[in-house]
Amino acid sequence: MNAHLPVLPIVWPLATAVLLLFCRGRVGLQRVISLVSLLGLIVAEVLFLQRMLTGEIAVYKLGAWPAPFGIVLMADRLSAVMLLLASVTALAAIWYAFGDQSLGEARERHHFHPLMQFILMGVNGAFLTGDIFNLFVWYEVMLLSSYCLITLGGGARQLRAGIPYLAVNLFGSTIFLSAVGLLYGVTGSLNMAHLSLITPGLEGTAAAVMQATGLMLMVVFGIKAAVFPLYFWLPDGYPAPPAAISAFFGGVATKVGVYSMIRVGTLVFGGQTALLGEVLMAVGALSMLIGVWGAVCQTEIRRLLSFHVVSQIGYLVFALGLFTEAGLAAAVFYMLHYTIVKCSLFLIAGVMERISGQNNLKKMGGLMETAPVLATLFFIGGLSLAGLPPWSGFFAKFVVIVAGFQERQYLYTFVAVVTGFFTLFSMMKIWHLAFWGEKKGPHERPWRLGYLSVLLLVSFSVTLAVWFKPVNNFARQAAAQLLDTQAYVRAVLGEGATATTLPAANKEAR
Amino acid sequence: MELLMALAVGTLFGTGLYLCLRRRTFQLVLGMVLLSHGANLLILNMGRIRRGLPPLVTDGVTEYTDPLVQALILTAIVIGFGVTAFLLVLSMRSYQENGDDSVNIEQEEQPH
Repeated sequence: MNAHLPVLPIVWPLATAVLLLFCRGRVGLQRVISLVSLLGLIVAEVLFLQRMLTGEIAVYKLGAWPAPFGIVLMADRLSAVMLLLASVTALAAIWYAFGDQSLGEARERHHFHPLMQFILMGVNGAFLTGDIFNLFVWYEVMLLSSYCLITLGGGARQLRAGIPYLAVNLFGSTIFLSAVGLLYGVTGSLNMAHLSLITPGLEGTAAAVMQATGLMLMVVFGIKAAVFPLYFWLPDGYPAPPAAISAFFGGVATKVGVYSMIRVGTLVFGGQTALLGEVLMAVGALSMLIGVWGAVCQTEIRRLLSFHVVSQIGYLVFALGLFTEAGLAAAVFYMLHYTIVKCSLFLIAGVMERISGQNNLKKMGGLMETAPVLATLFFIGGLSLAGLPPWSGFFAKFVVIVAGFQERQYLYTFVAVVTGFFTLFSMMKIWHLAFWGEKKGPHERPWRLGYLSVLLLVSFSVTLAVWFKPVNNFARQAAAQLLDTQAYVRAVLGEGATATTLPAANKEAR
Repeated sequence: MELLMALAVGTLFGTGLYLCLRRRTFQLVLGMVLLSHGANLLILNMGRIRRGLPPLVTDGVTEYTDPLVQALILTAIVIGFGVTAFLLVLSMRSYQENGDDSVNIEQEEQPH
């Protein structure tokens, strides 16, 4: 069983989804199966994370094909923790969905639960795979489910928002496919560990094509992660579906893009990161500013939060662009904090919309009176996003800024600090307009079972702040592991593998 | 042969992109289809086009054609087919629901 643990996060949701498809129409049963299956998965992933804490790199060869030929799954500290985060976020979203009844009976009956399992399978696959074409396939699994979830229930707004979302991501997939093709043409391999052996040895035209491929892949991941020039689909797409779905998207879907940037950037392009790093840092800084300025102008709450997704992704991409151990560690820590906080804020926004029956902040008002607990939770989450001590966001921004100073990137680091102020401003705006002031309409009964998931997520974020040191140590270890590409080569291809000992498929064919 | 293929890829990408930039959904769908064909041909080209050679390496075979690219393309075609079908249905539903087939999102006016 232990040997098969790496493939479990893919097979388990798939099996659950298929099972759920057979329970069509029986919402109660679907809820129970979904919940039990997710809890089981979380237990397995905690065990898996514990195993990965030793620094092992788990490799699973699908169909037992030897490494550079077959598809391999590989897991390290970062992927193990991302798996866990994805499942916890999914659990929170699903629990919220049926505890709050916000999805509506029809959406739940028509495959909300199987779709959540399918998207989780795609996300987990993307976190686990060690093969770049396989990464493309997992992206498609994830995206196809996300297309369905965005348009599920089919109101006019959801359908209208669905088309650009689909078009942009489909376009991204085409670039991905072309980049993978070029990569294969130049190197003759698709296995990431094998690629990390081949890429440093490339010269002349091949090296130039490789640079171009690297940038193409970053564009693809940038579209998924919604960084500055490629973010335009997100503020329209994410607020359209019900809160539970946009919370999962806001928490996890964009992080898959960042995760792939980290994975491909360190492993495949480890040798030639100078140009890539410069581009990523600039793009990151611009995302922070443009995203937060977009957020400041908004009054529709989930649209506002969607702009914050862009700005927070900027921090991640900037930290990654440093390509130092401290930078990567900061990115890992930031990702932990931010996945949880963003998901909780989207859920809180859902509750606020639920209570006031409005999605416009200017029409809310007086929520403090109706829902004091919610106000407290928002207070923690909002200040955490803005980076105020003692919440987790402070530590996350702190490590990013320290890493920036260490590399003498004063301008970008300054942008990171300024963005923090604007974030605080827009959180104050939500607080001011929605929680304070007079009631501007009838309010519903505030406390429901579904709000427990908000509590769960916020307490996670508080935990991150309280145990900053061990979590940060973990992030540093994960970063060190990411930079040691030789370890991946040893684990995947075996001891003593070099670029010349393994045949590259079409090199000889030429 | 490779030059011809490269030109075909370029043409497909060019026309596909042009169609994607149109405002109406049907042109968008066609553009996406052309783009994915372009990407598939590109991959085929990357495996080097060689005629009359076996795809499987057995004893005594020194010259062979690369079978992997075809597997990749097959996967991509299947995925592209599914997504295109979804896109078609989505654009039709959106047309029925919204009464026009424009791609743009118009923000609902918010009173300030």
